[in-house]
Amino acid sequence: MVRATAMILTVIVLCAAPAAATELQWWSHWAIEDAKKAVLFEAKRRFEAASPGNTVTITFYEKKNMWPTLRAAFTAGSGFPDVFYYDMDVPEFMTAGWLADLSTGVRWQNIEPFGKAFWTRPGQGGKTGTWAIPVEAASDEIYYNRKMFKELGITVPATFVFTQDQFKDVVAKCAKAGYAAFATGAADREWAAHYIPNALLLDKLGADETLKLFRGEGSWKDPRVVEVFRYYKELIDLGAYAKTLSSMTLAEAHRYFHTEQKACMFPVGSWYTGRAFVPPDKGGQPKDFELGMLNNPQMKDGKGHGQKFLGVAGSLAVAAKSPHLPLAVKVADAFADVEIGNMWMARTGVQTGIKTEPAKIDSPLKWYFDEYARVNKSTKWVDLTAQQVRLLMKPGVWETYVATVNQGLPNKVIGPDEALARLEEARLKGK
Amino acid sequence: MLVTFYNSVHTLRMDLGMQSEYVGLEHFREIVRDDDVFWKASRNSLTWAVAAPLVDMPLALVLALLLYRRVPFARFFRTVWFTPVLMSYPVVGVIWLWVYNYDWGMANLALRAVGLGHLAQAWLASPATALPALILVTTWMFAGFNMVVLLAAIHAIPADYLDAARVDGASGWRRTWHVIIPLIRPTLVNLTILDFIGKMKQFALVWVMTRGGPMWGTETVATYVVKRAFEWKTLDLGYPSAVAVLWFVIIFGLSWGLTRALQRREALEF
Repeated sequence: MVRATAMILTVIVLCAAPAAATELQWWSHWAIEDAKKAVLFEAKRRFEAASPGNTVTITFYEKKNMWPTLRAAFTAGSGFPDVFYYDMDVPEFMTAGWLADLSTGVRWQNIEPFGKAFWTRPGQGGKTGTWAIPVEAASDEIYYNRKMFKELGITVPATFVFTQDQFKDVVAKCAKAGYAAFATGAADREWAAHYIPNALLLDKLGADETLKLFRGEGSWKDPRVVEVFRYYKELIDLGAYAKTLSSMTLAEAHRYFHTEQKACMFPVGSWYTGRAFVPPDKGGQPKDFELGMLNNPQMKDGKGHGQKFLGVAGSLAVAAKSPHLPLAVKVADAFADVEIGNMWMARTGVQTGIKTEPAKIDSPLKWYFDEYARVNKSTKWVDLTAQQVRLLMKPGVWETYVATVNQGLPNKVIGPDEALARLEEARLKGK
Repeated sequence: MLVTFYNSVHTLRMDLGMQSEYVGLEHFREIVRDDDVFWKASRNSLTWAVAAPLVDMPLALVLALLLYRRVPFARFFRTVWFTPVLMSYPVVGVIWLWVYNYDWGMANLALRAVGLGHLAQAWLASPATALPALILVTTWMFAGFNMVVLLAAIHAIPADYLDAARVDGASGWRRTWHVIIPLIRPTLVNLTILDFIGKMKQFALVWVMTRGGPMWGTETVATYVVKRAFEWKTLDLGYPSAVAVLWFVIIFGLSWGLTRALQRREALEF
């Protein structure tokens, strides 16, 4: 009897004991972006409040160092985090089966349909899944320094669009005044100098043919492509890029544009705001910096007037083999929340794939949202960004595109004809 | 290593659920026939491996002889010259990225300071200057190491030999040329071979400073292998493994040949 009572008591005690606490690991990019980090920590706080006893540890990495570490950990089958920053820099993670399918377990009603659609793709063995939460969305933009434009006597048209001749004139005026036209730093990003040529190609060819060109279905010897590249080379020869292009990092390019003010324009993703709209002592733009936005320059006889690239950027994925998979999915789900979407917009000024309630967004960045809306009032969005072009290109073509368009052309090492010949050769190789 | 050999004759079929498929020597055929980047990377690696010892070894020898002759502040210079080898490649890479910065880098500031501002340039932006710029960095890094080893070798020469030469009226230059250098030849040969092999495998410095650019101007075989393995987004290690195997064979062959050639010459002399 005593024995039976003891057993029952033991069972009761065991059942009543709280579940073992779990510490989940979350690896994130955005180490130097305080506004984004604030949102990340809010999502972590919400998860921990909703799952008592479980904690999340966030480790911050520079993105380019995080990918090889993740790749090695997944290949080894150990040492990977439960949740991690993810974007289209490493599409092979999906096909390798390293990402958990988030089709269920996430409140997708709080995610914009375009965001869910973006991450719903074939995974390992062709099985379709939804692989990430689209936290950040971004368009390819051309920002400019209003004060500098005024100083140089440059007037921005009411449509925010320069014709190709006007744009050349803008570049010439900047260069003549001793400024670079574009604050581009290609030292740590292989697509940094792609924004302008991509925009010119889009305007000239239109979305369909530009995407075909990138997919390898169109020729780089197409006379319209040749015209775009030759025009682009004219801009380069006028002094479009700083001589520091190849040694300047993305972070340095931001400072070059808004703090040192050595360039008139900054062609970059609209995630610019994530780095720029923080206090100046944290690398943000000075309080008195007057930021303006442009639309893509209009090429003669272009088919893509008014079009711009927009795509999902920084996202959140869960490791398929996480030992705490249900909890890890809950961490990701903490982001699928309209309040988080509102906070993201208010703090970072960057678009998001999470649904938001604009009326409830109380942000000191409202002026920026208004400016963005004004400039992009008639924009026809094309689902792609400079970072995602590699998804369409074959690896060998992408490598050549980086070598020629991010390095050779802007550094004046090669001319447009050589660049196009190399691209066409790579395309025909089909690798 | 065995896995690399295995991978080099296989390819990964993602469409078949990550199955490995035997392809024989297909990868090797493709490398030899069609891969321009591999050949460019090979040329760069070979240029580096040949040029670096030609610069490193005489420089290290001169520094070692200066210290041997007890120039003023010899201990200070020995520490200063040796320090770079204690630093890791990423640290050295970042330091030299600053040195080569167009606007405020020390290289261009020095040129501007002496009135040669017209020679200032973006050193890592052109294939013509990027590779020499990187070779200079490895020279800065390893001259001190080679110097210390050579200095030890010089100190190991029996004093009688040098005293005898002095008694015979040999000048300092003649003692160096006819006594010291022949006696430290084995050390020189070994350091040269090590230098050669090290440069054939050069990876980390390039990765930090240029990632093989501009226009493959500093691409080495090692960086190309890593790019093909991890940046082509295919997860297929077959082709990069074949490049690695081929390069291993080339390095092995050249090192063996170099060792034989230098040792044979040595045998003739002694």
